[in-house]
Amino acid sequence: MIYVKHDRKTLTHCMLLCNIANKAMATKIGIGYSQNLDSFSAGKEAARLATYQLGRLKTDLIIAFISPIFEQDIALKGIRSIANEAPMIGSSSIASITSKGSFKDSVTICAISFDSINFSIAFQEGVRNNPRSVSTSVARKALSNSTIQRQLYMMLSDSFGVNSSDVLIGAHEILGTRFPVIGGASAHNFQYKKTCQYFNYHLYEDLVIGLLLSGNFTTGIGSAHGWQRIGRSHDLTKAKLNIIKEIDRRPAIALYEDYLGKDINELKNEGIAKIGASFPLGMKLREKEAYLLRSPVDITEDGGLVLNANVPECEEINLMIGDRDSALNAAKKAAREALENLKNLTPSFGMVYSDISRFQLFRKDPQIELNAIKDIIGENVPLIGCYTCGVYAPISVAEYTQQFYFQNQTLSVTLFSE
Amino acid sequence: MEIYTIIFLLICLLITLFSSLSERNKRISAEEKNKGLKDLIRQLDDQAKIIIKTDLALNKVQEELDKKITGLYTLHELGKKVSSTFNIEDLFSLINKPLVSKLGFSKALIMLKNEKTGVVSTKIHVGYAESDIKKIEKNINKGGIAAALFKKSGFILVNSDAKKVQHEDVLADIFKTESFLTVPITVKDEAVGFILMGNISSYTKLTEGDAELLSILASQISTAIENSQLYAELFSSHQDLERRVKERTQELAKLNEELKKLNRAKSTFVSAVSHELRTPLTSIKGYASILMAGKLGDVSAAQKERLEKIDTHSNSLTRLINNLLDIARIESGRVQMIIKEISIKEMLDSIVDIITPQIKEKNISLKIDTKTKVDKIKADPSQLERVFLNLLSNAIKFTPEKGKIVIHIEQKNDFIEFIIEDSGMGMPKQDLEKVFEEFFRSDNAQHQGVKGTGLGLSLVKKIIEAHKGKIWVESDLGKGARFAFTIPRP
Repeated sequence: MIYVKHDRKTLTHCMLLCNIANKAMATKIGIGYSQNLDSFSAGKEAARLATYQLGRLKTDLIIAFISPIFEQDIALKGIRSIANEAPMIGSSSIASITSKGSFKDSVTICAISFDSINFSIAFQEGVRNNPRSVSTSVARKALSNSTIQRQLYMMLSDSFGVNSSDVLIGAHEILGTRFPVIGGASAHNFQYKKTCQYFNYHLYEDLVIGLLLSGNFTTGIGSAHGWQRIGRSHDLTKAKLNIIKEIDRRPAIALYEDYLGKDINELKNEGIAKIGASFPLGMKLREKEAYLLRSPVDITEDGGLVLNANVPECEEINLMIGDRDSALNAAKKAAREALENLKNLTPSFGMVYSDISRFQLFRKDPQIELNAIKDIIGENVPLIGCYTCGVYAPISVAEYTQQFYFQNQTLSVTLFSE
Repeated sequence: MEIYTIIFLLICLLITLFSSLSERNKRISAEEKNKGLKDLIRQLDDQAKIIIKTDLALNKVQEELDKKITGLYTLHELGKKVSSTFNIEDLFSLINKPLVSKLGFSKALIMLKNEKTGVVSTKIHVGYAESDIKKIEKNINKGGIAAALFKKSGFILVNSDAKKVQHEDVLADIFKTESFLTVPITVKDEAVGFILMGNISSYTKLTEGDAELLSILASQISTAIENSQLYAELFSSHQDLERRVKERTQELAKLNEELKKLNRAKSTFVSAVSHELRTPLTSIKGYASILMAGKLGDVSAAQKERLEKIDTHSNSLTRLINNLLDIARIESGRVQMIIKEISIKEMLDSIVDIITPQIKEKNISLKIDTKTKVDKIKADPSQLERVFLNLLSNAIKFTPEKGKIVIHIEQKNDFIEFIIEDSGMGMPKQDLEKVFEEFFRSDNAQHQGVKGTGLGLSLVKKIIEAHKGKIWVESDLGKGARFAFTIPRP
């Protein structure tokens, strides 16, 4: 074996030799979690467990998912007390998704020792006011620090008052419109409050984090939601950016008033974000046989619906309903797609991002969704990920076009093979 | 020609009429079908609305249930930790942000009233800044608002969208939260504090289920406070008891020291007095002997009799003084036991030789009953001889003619047990405890008739205890006596 110490920020010939020599090895992932109700102890325990599993391997990157029940800064201190030197990114999340299990109310740490994969990370604040330009800036920074053979971009961003479509557009402006983007917007519960993101053990809000992966490896991505149309189709008569003003020439909120039997004040009191998570709007994309799902997050004064991403051009709009069986089948479908797109190579590890509405649908027992994925890809493939407020994923269509969207109610599975 | 034209025109007209009728029918049929489809779609849509409403209601119920289960489980876990501590501060440290969040709240306060001053102060707070806490404490302690919070009977539940009565408005203002729940904490049927939990989000409605959860938490806190108080009382009593025991032990030790001093003083006194008594006694005995021998002239029979009495009583007095001296010496440690390995058989043979004349005089049978093959013991031969002689001479004294004396020998672990059993007059049970005390003589008339100083058994006990052995007696009036003692084996 040729061992070469290489600088990840610059390209060297040694990198190629290293890749050839270490073909037999793969990226190693240590996963640790803690549900200790003391925030510092939870961070420390999870970090210790994760880094311990890497043995003597150097921790190249830490990805952390911390439940909003914890004091975030104190939990970060706990993590730092163990994994001080390794670069770290992460986000608050109601539950993590890992091959060891799906853990709610926890601190979950994924410690990664990359083999043939190089990475660069970047971040910037201010995504709420300027989602597109901030995302562009982050993608540019990540790109400038990366090596050749750029393969995949993962984003974690704030969701509170953020148009996540614009965040995706901003990334695509730099990386290319067909460049694979995965990840999602931070979410912690259904109250649609401020979320947290982490970069090198510091706590932020209003942030975009980008992780660009490059190297000689293959990826396969699959996504699906499992929600179905209910009721008749409607016409989207007036919309702008991420606000639907009118449906069937009536205030958009009337759709929910009709179907749920509640007036606008009741819907405001109960929280349209929570209701919209269960009953999102499905927009049938022009010339595609697929529905892009959007959850309303707020109601305007004149009865319009504010979404967390742009309204696409669509033929018709429907109220959608989810059920456990179809959502589980969708999870299996996404996993199957990811394997197919991996061209039947053996996966080394995977990343899973799932919308928070699925967490609600499975009655807060997300383990069953994880089991559905593992049924397809196998028990032994290391998985890392979390529940988000929408995911970045391709639309799953018969002709797979690799076009990426910000989607709600969706699960995305990304498999890596080195 | 015209006729044909007219017929042709008529035929065209008929055809046109038929066509338009047919079109009209088709249109009507299509409209009817359309209407039917629309009705069907409307019906399906209505059914969809029912499904959605049902689903929504089910979701709500399920969510309440999930919340309750999570809350109960969280409280159960808390309860396990609380039950393992008596320190109330440990309990408060467990009520932190993660726990409060798991119960479904974003703010929490626990305030307790000081028993002596009546001032309400904060024990824990979640979701409040320190400056907020100071203001809250000031407001709570100011007016009569505390009375509403400390009401034993129930909880206060306020939701943001509900109409508030006056004090609820005031409380919402004090606690800086629109939706909140307070539950009193009661110890021994008296409200000592309250718990508040609240939410700043208007989406989360508080229900009676939340009040039940909070009541469970309040109950856990009450129990923990009571346990902590009880433990503190118990600990204090225990400390007090320990202190008193220590004091009493010190007093006893002091008394013991004094007693030992007194005992030593007594022994010294006895020793000194005995020595002082021996000298004149020796003179009395000496001069009596000289007079009896006739060295100072003839002595009449009456004089000789009296001189013999002087001699006998002098001897008795001498024995008494010697015994006292021996006891005093042993007590003071001036007599050291010279411990060696001795043969039991040889010792007993020698002793039997000495007492044979006394036995024969009263025709008493003497038997030695050995139940062990062990023949060796560790003892001071001369002192042990005194023990046997003393016990056997007592046995002979208190056994009538033709009586029986048996010496039993048995091994008991690391000791050899000797029992001098006689068939004599025995002694009352109430005397058994005192028989080894100095100068003790039984009140019993028969015992009073037998001469003795009351020091022999006391001396025997001292000698046996100096050998690290034990001595005791079993007897009943008229049923003989069994004097038993143990001597260590080699």
